[in-house]
Amino acid sequence: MKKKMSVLLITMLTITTILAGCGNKEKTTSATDPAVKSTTPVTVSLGFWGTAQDLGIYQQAVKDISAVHPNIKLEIKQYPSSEQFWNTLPGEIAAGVAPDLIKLTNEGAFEYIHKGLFEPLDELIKPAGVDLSLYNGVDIWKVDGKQYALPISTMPAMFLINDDMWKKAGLGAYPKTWDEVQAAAKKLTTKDVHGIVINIDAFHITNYVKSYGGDWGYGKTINSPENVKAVQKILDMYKDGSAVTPKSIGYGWDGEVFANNKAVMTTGGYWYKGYLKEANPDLHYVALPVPEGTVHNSTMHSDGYVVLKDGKNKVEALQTASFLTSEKVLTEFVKVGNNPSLKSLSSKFFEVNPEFDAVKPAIEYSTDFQYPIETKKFIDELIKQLEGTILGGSNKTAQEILDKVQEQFK
Amino acid sequence: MSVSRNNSKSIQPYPYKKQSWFSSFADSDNKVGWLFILPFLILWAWWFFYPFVQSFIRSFQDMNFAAMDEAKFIGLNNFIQILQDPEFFQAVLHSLQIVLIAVPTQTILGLLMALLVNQKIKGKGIFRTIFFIPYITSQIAVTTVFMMLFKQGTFLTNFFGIFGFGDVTWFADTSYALIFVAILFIFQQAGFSMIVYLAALQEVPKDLYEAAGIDGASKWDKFRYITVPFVKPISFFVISVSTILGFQIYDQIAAISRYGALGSPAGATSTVVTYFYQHGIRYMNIGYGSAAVLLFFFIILIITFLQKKLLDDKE
Amino acid sequence: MKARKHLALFANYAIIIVLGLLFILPFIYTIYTSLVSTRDVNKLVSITNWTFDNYIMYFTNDAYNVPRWFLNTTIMTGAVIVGNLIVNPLAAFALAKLNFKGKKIIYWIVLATMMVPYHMILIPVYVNMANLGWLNTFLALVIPFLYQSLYIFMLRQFFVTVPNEFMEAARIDGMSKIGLFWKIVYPLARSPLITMSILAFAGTWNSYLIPSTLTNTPKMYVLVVGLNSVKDAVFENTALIMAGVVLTTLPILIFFFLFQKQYIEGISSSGIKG
Repeated sequence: MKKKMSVLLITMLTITTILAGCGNKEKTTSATDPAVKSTTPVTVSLGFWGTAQDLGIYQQAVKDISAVHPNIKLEIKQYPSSEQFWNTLPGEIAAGVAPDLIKLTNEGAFEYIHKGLFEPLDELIKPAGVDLSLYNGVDIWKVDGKQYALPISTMPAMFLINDDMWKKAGLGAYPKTWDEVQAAAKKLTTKDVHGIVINIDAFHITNYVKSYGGDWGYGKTINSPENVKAVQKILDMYKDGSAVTPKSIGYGWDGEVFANNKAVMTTGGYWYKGYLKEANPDLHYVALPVPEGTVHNSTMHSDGYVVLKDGKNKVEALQTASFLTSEKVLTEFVKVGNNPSLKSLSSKFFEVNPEFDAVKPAIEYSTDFQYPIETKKFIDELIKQLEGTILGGSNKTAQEILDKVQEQFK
Repeated sequence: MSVSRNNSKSIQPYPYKKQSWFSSFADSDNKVGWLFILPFLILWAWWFFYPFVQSFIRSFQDMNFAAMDEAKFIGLNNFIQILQDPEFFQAVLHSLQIVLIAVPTQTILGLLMALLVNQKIKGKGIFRTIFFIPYITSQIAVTTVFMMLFKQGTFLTNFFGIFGFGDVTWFADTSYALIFVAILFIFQQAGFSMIVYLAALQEVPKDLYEAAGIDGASKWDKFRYITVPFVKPISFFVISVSTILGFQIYDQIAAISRYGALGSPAGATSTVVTYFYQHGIRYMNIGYGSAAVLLFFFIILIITFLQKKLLDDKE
Repeated sequence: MKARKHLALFANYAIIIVLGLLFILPFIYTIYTSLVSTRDVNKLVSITNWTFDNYIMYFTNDAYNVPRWFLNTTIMTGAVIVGNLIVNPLAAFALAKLNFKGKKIIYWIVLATMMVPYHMILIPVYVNMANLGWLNTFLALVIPFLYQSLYIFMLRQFFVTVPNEFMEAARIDGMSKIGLFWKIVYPLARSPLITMSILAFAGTWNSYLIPSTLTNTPKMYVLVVGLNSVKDAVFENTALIMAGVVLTTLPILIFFFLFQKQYIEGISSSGIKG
C-alpha cells in the first residue's frame, strides 16, 4: 500500500512540475515590454469568431501586415463562437487582456456602443492615416455623430424563392408586394409544403416592418401603426396556413426548411448561397429584394472592425483595421461571400456572385436595424411574444403583441 | 453504524506501542481530520470561496459590464426587483417541475439498470457501456438527435399519440417543451445514477445474500431487506445530486433555443439558470444575475436540507 | 418451476435489450449523421452515400491541430483525475469516519459548493487566473479542479457504509488513523474510486465552459473547444458537429469499457472475513 501511495505522490509531483513548467514558459514568451516600444513592433490582437476560410485569410494577413505596417505585429485570438466571446469579455476587460480590435456585425453592436465598450474612432482617424471616403456603409456605424467602426462589408436582406417549385406551380412573374406573396403562398401550400417560411427572429420580422415603412426607432416606435400592420401581415399568413415556422416542423432555421423543399419562399441573406451549395446543390433559387408592404426598404447588414475602449494601442489597432480592409484582404473576403465596403471593389461582388444581381438596388435604400439600446432583451421579448401567439396559441393581435413589447422599452 | 461510536475516546491507545509525537498525532480525530480536509479546504478557499465572495458582493451592486470598477452599491435593490418579476417565479416553477418529473424517474431507472447489469449475464460490459453513453455524449448532440426524433409525424410522436399526446413537434409546443426537457435530463442522468448504484451494489457483502438464501428468502425479500438498506446512503447522494443538476440544466435548453430566445418556445422552458444566464450574461447585468443565482442557491439549499432530513442516515 | 425460470430469464433479457436499444439509438443516429453530407442531414440515405468528409475536415486544415488538442485534453484529464484520487478520498474519509471539530460545517460547505453554477464565479476566476499569469496554461485547466465537491460527497456516502467494527478491529492491531485510511479504507473503496475516476474522466474530458474561457490560443485548446471552433460556414453544420461529438466521445467510451470490468462484487465481504 505504501508503494501505491508513493507512486501516486510522485505522479502528482511530476505533473505539477510539468504544469508549472508550461506555465512559466508561456508567461515569458507572451511578455511584452512597453519600454522597448519604439524599436520593436507593437502587438495588436484581433478577436474573431468565424469560419475556417476566415481564419485562413487572417493568418495570411498576420504574415503580410509587416510589409505595410512594420510597426505592427498582428495576433489573432480566435473564439469558438460569438457567445463565447461575450462570455469571456467581461473577465478579459477586468484583467486587462481584452483584444484591441474585434469584428462585429451591426445587428447587435448598438447595445455595446451605448454601454461604452468601444472607442469612438474620430480622434484616431487622422493619426492612423485612414481615409473614410474610400468606404461604403460608413454611416451605419455612426452613433450620435461619432464613428465607431471601419466597415468591412454591406449587404441588404433578400427574398428567396425556390424557382423549381415556383415554375412548376405556373405562377408567372415573381411577387413584388407582400399581398402578392400571400396570394402566391396560398396557392403553393400543399399537405407537405408551405408557401413561405417565416422564422420568428428579429432579423426577419424587422424586414417586414421596414417594408411597411416602419422601424423600431431605437425603442421609441415599437408599436407604431406601420409596425402593427407588418406584424399583422405575418400573423395573417400563419393563420391561413400558408406560412410556417421552422421550429414547428422540426427544423432549426429558415434555410433548412428552404433547402429541404418544405417551403417555397423565405426572407434571408447572402449566407443562403454558401448554405444551399452544401445542403441542396440541385435547388434553383432566385434572390430578389425584400417585397414591398408600402415602401421599398429592408435591413442592411454590415460587418465592421471596432476598437475596444480598454485596448492599449488604439492608433495601431485602427491601422490594423485599415490594413484588413485594404483591397487585397477584402478581395479574399469577396470570395467567401461578403460584399466589400471599399468603393473601388463594389462592382466585384456582383461579378463573383451574379445570382444576387437583382438585389443590387436594395443597397441604395436599405437601412440599419435601429433596435433599442437593450437589444438582446428586446429581441428576446419580441420573439417570446410572437412565439406565444404562433406556437402557444395565446391568440394576441399584432397590436397587443407590440404594445406588450413597447411597455418594457419606454 | 453511527459515526459517533468511532470516537477516539472510546478506544484506548495501544499499551504496547510507544507514544511518539507521530502516533499521538495520527490518533487524534481532530488533527487527522483537519489534515485530511486541508488539501480540499485550501483549493476550495482559493478557487471557490474567494471568487464566490466577489460575486456575492456584486449582487448588491449595479454593475456595468464595460466598467466594472464604477459599480455602485444599491443595497437589496437587485433582490427586490427579481422578487417583483413574474418571469422569475415562472422560471422557479419550471425548474421545480423538471426536478419533480425527472429526479424520481431517473433514480428508479438508474437503480433498475444497475441491478440488470450487475447480474451474471452475457454481454453485461456492453450493456453497462450502452447505458452510460448518453451521460458521456455531448448534451447538445443528444438534444439535436432527440429533436429529430420528436418532431411532428415521426414514429415517436405517433407512438405517444396512443397515450393521448398530440402529434406535434414537442420542443416547439408550449405545453410539451418542458416535458421534452425533463425526458432529456432523465435520459442523460440515468447513466450517472446507474454507475453510482453499480458501485454501491459491489459493496453489499455477498454472504448476506447467501445466508438469506439458506433462510428461504425470496428475491424480493433480499432486495427489500439487504440491498435497499445498503444503497440508502448512496440514494441520498443520487437524489440530491440529480436535484441539484436538474436545477442547473442548461445545455439542453440552449440547444432547443438555438435560433430563438433562451427558454423557447415563448418562455415555456425558462428555468432559474436560463433566467440567470439571460440577465447576468446576455443582458450584461452582472449584479442582477448574481442576485438571481443567490436566490436560486438558497432554494436548492433548503430542498437539499429537507432531502437530508428525509433520506440520509441519522447522525 | 423450470418454465417459470425460463420466463424470468427471458423477461430479464427482454428488458435489458429494449432499454439498451433505447439508450444507444441516439448515439447510433449521431454516428450516422456524422457520416453523411450536409444535404443528407435529417434524411435516411443508403450506405453508398456515406462519406468521411466531416472527419477529414478536422484533420486536413492546416489551421487546426487535432492531435495537439487530443494531447492537451489527455494531460488535463489525467492531472485532474490524479488530484481527485488524492484530495477527494481524504476529505470524504474525514467527513465519514473522523470526529473533528467543525465537521458539520465542512460537510455543508461541500454540499453548498455543488449548488452554485460555475457560471456565477467564472469572471472572478478568470481575473484571478489572469493576475497569476495562468491563462492559456495547463495550470488554469487543472489546479482549481483537483478537488470536486460532488465526488467528495459521493465518496463520503460510500465510506459511511464501511462498518465501524471493522475499523476498530484494525485499530486494535495497532494501526493509526492515517494507516487505517491508506491500508484499509482506500483499497476497500475500489468500486467507489473507479466510479469516481470514470465520472471525473467523462466530466473533465467533455468540459467546455471552463477551457473555452481560460484558453484562447488554438495551441492550448482542448478537444471539445477546438472542434467547436472548426466551422466551414456561417451556418451550423450538423453533420460536422456530430463528427466532432463522435471524435470526443470515443475515448471516454473506451476508457469506460475497460474500467467497468474492475467492478468486482463483494470485496468488502471477503475483507471482513480476512
